Amino acid sequence: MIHPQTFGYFCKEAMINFKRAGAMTYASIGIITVTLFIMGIFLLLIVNLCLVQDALIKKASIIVYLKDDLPNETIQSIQTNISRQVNQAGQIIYVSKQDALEGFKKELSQYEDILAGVSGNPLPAYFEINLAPSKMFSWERLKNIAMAIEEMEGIEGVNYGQKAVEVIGTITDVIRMFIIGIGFILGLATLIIISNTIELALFARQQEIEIMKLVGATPWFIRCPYLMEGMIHGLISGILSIGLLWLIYHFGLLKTFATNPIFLFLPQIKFISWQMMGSLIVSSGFLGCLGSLLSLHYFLRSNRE
Amino acid sequence: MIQMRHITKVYEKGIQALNDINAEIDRGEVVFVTGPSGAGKTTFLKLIYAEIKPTSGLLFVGGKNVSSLPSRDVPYLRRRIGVVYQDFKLLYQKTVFENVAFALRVIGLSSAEIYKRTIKVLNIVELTHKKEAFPHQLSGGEQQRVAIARAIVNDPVLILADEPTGNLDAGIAANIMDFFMEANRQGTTLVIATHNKENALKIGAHIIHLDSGRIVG
Ligand SMILES: Nc1ncnc2c1ncn2[C@@H]1O[C@H](COP(=O)(O)OP(=O)(O)OP(=O)(O)O)[C@@H](O)[C@H]1O
Ligand SMILES: [Mg+2]
Repeated sequence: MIHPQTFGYFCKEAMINFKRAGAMTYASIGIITVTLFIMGIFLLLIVNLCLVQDALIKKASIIVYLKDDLPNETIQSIQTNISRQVNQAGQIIYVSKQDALEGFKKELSQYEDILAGVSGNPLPAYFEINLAPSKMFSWERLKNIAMAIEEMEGIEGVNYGQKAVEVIGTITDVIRMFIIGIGFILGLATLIIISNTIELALFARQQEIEIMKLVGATPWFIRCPYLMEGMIHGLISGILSIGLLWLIYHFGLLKTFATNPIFLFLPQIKFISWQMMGSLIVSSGFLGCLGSLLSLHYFLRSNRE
Repeated sequence: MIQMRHITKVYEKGIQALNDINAEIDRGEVVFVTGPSGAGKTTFLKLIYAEIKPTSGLLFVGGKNVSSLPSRDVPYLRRRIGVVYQDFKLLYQKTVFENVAFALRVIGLSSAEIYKRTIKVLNIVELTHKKEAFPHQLSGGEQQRVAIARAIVNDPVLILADEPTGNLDAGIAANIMDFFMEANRQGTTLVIATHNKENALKIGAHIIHLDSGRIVG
């Protein structure tokens, strides 16, 4: 049976190989780092778009426009129904046609000529529902409430910021697909680069591998140090790319967004989550392993004539 | 230990290295495979440790049919055979110690066990003082002794040696023959390929004499 100390030997071999490989190894680590960094940029984008979407949802209020000339009882019963729907999760304000018009006039007081053209009262009465910001509050719930209210009698229409949230939703969906697509391509590129680098190293050590076979090494025994080397390769690139991403985030993005008033309405931008960093590093390590496995395939073919 | 039945080996481009070889080597025997350069001695040995497959014929080593041995079983066959290659096949980036220990690493022994056994065989070939040297820092004869140490470190049941005393002076050559004969006294079967019959005749061993791929005499 293989003694556990053999793995210590593998590690040592992997490190020796890694050092011996030299310039080519550093070049490929550089390329893979950049590749993963690009991936990281997209992750950063998606994380922050989700934040914006969240913020919009949290701020959302539902405006329920009423039909004209509803009897007072109906308005009363609509209010009761709405509070049942909202279930004390927010505050409900009634704004009558008259109040709506006055509010409108106040807002547009500079444009008297426009107001002069307004005859009668074209504005509907409405309920404004301000939902208490809460972590438990989801877009789904907001949508359900709004849709339930819309079905009630005497309702002209409901507006709950669906447009903005849905647009951002579409954007994040597109970026998500893009990440999957680009992730696939970048992953493939990483794989090819690592497998090529290992293959070059293998060419240099062809004789060594031949001798390993001759003294009775099994293919897995021969593979192990190279797999580790590929993994180290991938892990280092993964860690470097996250470091680079963090530098860009911390000294670039954060500064720009904090000082530029255009972005003031946005929530503070965030770095990618620990889980994302973890999976970026783990998957690049995995790609490294896979890369060396691919290049080893050629060298470990049985060559008995 | 080894049975060859109508073994023929044709390399690519139709080069016929062995032609209808029938041979029987018993356990514990000392056998010399002799013949002029190009006679097929190395090919004969390569078939036994499964570096190459016979083109036709049957070959059994230790009861195993090597002519149709699946690739995954080849490493385990080789672990029971110690081979001294005509060109040594040492690892030039590794020290003498690591070169010998290599055959034990491959089986996955503990470091302590590897150290103990490696030092023991380095003692036998009288190279303990050079254990930290690299092969290129050694003379031809010393390199050959490293190769021999690696071949015997595993306590193989069979030793195959290809011109093990090839370019050595008579004194060291005799010395090396002594290592082999000592291993043989411990029960190891020996197959030695050499182009000079002298040693063989001196020991009175079983001789397989090849010429142009055929057994003669
Ligand atoms: N891999 C190979 N491909 C093609 N021909 C080969 C190959 N190896 C050996 N031969 C040929 O097979 C014949 C036998 O070679 P082999 O190496 O077995 O001879 P040998 O008896 O060991 O010779 P030497 O005493 O010079 O070592 C030679 O004609 C050689 O050229
Ligand atoms: Mg030869």
